[in-house]
Order: sequence, then structure tokens, then C-alpha cells
Amino acid sequence: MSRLTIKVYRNLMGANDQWAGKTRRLLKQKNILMLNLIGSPGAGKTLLLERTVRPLSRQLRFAILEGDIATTRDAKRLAKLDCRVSQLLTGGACHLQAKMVHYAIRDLPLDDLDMVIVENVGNLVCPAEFDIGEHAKVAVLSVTEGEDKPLKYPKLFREAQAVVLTKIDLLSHVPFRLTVCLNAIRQVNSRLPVFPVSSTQGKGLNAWIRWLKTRRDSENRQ
Amino acid sequence: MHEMSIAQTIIQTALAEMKKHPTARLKTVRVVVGLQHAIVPENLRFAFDVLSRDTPAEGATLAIQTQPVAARCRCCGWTGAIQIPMYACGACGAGDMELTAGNELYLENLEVETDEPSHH
Repeated sequence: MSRLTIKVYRNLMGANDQWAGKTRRLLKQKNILMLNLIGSPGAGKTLLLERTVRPLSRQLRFAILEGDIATTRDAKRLAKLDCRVSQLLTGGACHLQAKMVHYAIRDLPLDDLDMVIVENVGNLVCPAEFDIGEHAKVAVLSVTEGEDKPLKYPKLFREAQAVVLTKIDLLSHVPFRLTVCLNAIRQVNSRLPVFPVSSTQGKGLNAWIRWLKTRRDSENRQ
Repeated sequence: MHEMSIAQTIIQTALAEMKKHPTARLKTVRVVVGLQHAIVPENLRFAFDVLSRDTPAEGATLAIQTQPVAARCRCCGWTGAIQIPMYACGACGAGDMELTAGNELYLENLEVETDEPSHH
């Protein structure tokens, strides 16, 4: 009897990343920007989407991929917007993976779209690990979650290319110091732009929407 | 619990490799996990044990080697290990750091047992 070691050296994200690459190539070919919104349950992702898509829907053609563990509640809510909405149900999984997203993207009328926004499953941990073929991950953090979250969930804030800080209308009601949170974000990722917004009151949304349009334009030029 | 899907990939990768060695028995699966990933070794081992049941990987040990996070400072060029979640330069304190290690996630090797006599 003998023991031997077989060298493998295989990337464990390889299969996922291949699907993500396929999606990215397809989107590039069709000139579509895709964002991946990641935040905890109740952070305000769906309302932010409503407030983002509505004012832009005359200029840009959107599709939303709505990732949830169960129910089509969010998809039904978003269907009132002037855009295409697809529901992705993970059936228990805590994050979207690239293959699932790729099939959903292929089913969209890609020639009639400018932007796809994916609302990932509400979770600050797992979705940050998986490339789904997006151009940028966007972290959505609400002030009710606490100012220290960027330090507690650094992976997401390292991977993200922007942070939308939601529910700032509640700042006077919660022990959340904006400067402490901004510092925490900077400690994890000094290059990250932060957009404080109140989706319910319509505050701060213009800067976020400007970023989105700039991102789309810069992707177009490449 | 993304450890479940990663464990599934580990098992699939290991079993695909074992097909090339039909007489060998899988003893250890060695993976390298960068600490930039939010992967909990106990959870990964648990998922591996559960998902490998009734497969040729059942009973094999999952050996997890962690890789610390290191980064290069875009301001002064310093490179070294950093303590996450603080992505700050160990020399000048700047926060503009480019990761050089810690994002690894791969199956390094398999240790197998065969009935053939050793060549050594």
C-alpha cells in the first residue's frame, strides 16, 4: 500500500467565474451595464430601486433581476415600474450564483435594454463572495443597522464600487454617527464613494443617480 | 452558508480528479482559503462531511490551509500582511491598499492511498 499526493491547483470559484465571464461578454456585446445591489434584509434595496428606476425610465431602459429566497412580493412591487422584472428564487440559498443569473439574463430582451440591476438576496456576507458578471457591486447599508457594519463585513465593502447609505431621515432617531460610519468605510476601502440617501423623502438620490449614469457612460466608451 | 456551495465544488473537483485514478482511495483533500473570503473552516468541514456522504469522498479529511491577507500600499509602495478589516499601510498608514494575497480559494492537492507498492 502506498500514499501519494496528486497535485490539482484548481480554482474553486472557477465554474462560477466562467458563467460570470459569459454574462459579462454578453452584456458588453449588447452594451448593457449591470449592477449587483447587496445589503441586509430591510436595508431598503427595493425602495431604492423604485426611486432609481422611476426618474430614469425615460432616458434608460431597465431590467431588474430580483433575487429572493422565497415569494415574488418584491417582483410584484417592482412590476409597477416601467421596466422588465424577473424574479430569481434561490429556494433557500443565501446568494445568487453566476449560472442562475446568466440564464435569467439570456431570457431578457437584451437589444431593448441599457441597464440591468440585480437585487441580490438580503445578506451582507455570502453575495459578496460571488461574481455574477456584474460591472459593479453596490453595497446598500441603512443607518438603522449601525455605524460599525463596514468593519464587521469588510469583504462586501472591499468588493463594492459604491455605497448607498439609506434611511438618513432616521438619523435623529438612532445612535448612528455618520462620520464614524464614513470613517469605517474608508478604513476598509478608501476609494469608495458613499451616497447618503433617504428614499422615502427623496433626498440625496440625485448624486447616486449621477454616479449610475456616469458609470453607464464610461462602460459605453470602453 | 455559502460554505455549502463551496464544499459542493470541492467535492465535484476532487471526484473528477479521482476518476483518473480509479484504484486509489481518497484520504485528504487539501484546500487553500485566503482570509479575505468570509469562509468559516468549521462550516466548510461540516458541509464537506455532509455532502460527501455516499460518494468516494466520504470519510476523507478536508485540510484547510488559510492564507493571510497581504497588500501593497499605492502611496509608498510598502508590501506586507495587514489585519483585516483595517486595510491600512503598515508603514505610512495610508488606506489606499491593493491586495496581493488573501483572495485565494483553490483545491491544492489530494492525498490518496493505493494498493500498488510504493516506487520509493
